[in-house]
Amino acid sequence: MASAFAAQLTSLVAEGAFDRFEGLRVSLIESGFAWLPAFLWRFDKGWRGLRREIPWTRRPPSEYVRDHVRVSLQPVDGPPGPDELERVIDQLGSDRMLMFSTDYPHRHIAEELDAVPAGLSPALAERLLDGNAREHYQL
Amino acid sequence: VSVRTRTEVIDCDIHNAPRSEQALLSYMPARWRAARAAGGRLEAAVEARRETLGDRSYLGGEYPRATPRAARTDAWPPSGDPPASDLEFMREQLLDRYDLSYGVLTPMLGAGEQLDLERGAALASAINDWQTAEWLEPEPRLRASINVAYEDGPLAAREIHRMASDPRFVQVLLLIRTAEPLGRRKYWPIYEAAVDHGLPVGIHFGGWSRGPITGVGYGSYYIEDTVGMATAFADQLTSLVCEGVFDRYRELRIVLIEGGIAWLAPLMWRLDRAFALLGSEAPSLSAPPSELIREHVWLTTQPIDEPPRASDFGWLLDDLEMNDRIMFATDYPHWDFDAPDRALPAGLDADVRERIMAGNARSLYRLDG
Repeated sequence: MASAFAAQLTSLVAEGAFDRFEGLRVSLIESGFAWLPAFLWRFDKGWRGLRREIPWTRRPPSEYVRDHVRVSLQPVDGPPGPDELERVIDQLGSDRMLMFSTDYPHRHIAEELDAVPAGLSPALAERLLDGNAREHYQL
Repeated sequence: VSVRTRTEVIDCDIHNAPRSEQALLSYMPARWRAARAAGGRLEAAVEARRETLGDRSYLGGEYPRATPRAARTDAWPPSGDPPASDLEFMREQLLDRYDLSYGVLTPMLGAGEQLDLERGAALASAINDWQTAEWLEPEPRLRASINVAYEDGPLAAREIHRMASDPRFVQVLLLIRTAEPLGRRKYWPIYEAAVDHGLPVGIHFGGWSRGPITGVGYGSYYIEDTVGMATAFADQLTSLVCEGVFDRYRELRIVLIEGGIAWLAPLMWRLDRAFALLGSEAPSLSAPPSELIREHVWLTTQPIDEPPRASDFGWLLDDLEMNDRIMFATDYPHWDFDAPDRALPAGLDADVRERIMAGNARSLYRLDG
């Protein structure tokens, strides 16, 4: 499923949706997030080589994604260790992107339903549990 | 002018091409020569179109690419023949310039994409014979890939058996976008034949999937095509793992060519988490997916991933734990060529650099020292 999310993000950026609709806010729900850093590195590199094909995009794709896209936490698809997980979140380049979610009533690994993943800094955990969704959904 | 790097260089992805599509015809049986001259996909008008639009044909979509034939603009030989069709010019621009020990040829000429499977098999044989006569014979630094009509397992296996006695053919070659996921049983005869002969199976960027090229349809632009290719690699590897191919063929070695490398660690995390939850659905899997992948999979570097922070390149190697499986490639003569002296970031551990630039390919392809 991560491939489908990646293809849709590629399309939204390449077709200029975020240029045409500057206030557009997109939520990726149940997409996972650990694939995003590598995807954005690749997309930015492709854009540097091919941006003349889509000249309406004025910034690297990763900047559009960080500004316009938010991602739900479940399924947590990062590396098993808490330090590695925080590093992957750091590689997103923004503490604003992740929003807590449970995916209730679907089945997940039980210990991951209890709370935010272990090892996150209090500030990041607060943004993930509360602040990011509040801003994105204007609650 | 030779650009000498401190470490030995083996290039695992070189796209040699015929001087003209007609040049391949002399290697095909008369039946197919006649059919093509009468209006096959490679007739003169089509060939002219390929000069500008490139040589991969997707059903329903063909993207104008960055440059004619997706090639470096300086890769056209003085003769005016297509990029990478002139061995002497390839020596000058690649083999000699970067002092390559070996280069592995990966011609992408459509053999696996023909709807007429018999014609695809004839084209594959022609490509392999052309490689032998016009590339391997005159240039001892080159190694070749066995082209096959991969949508027909038995036909592909037949070609593998035909070519495997020549040790200069170091792998079987498929493209990553196939008609069905590569774990499906229709492709198993390919893996069986490859294992029989101790050959790795290389799977390269590109191909015509006979369906939409992403899981959500066709995009409008080449950038979507090329960036999206990483998802095809992830989806195919997921299929190979989950369909039990690595458990069935314990000696199978898969080389993912031109996929980059950064996408794989996140896929392994996700597959392992899914396996913990859903592994009972795939009872034949003998180990968590990441273990199977690290045992059976090799990767080539180009297009090398470029995280904006240098430290993240180190992290991605740490996450992969596959320093003995990553192999350097240039993708010559294509526009997104990675130069041997510039592709890997400075500061990489010298031993890791040596393994990626040459040592891993030397071991996998059994190249002499």
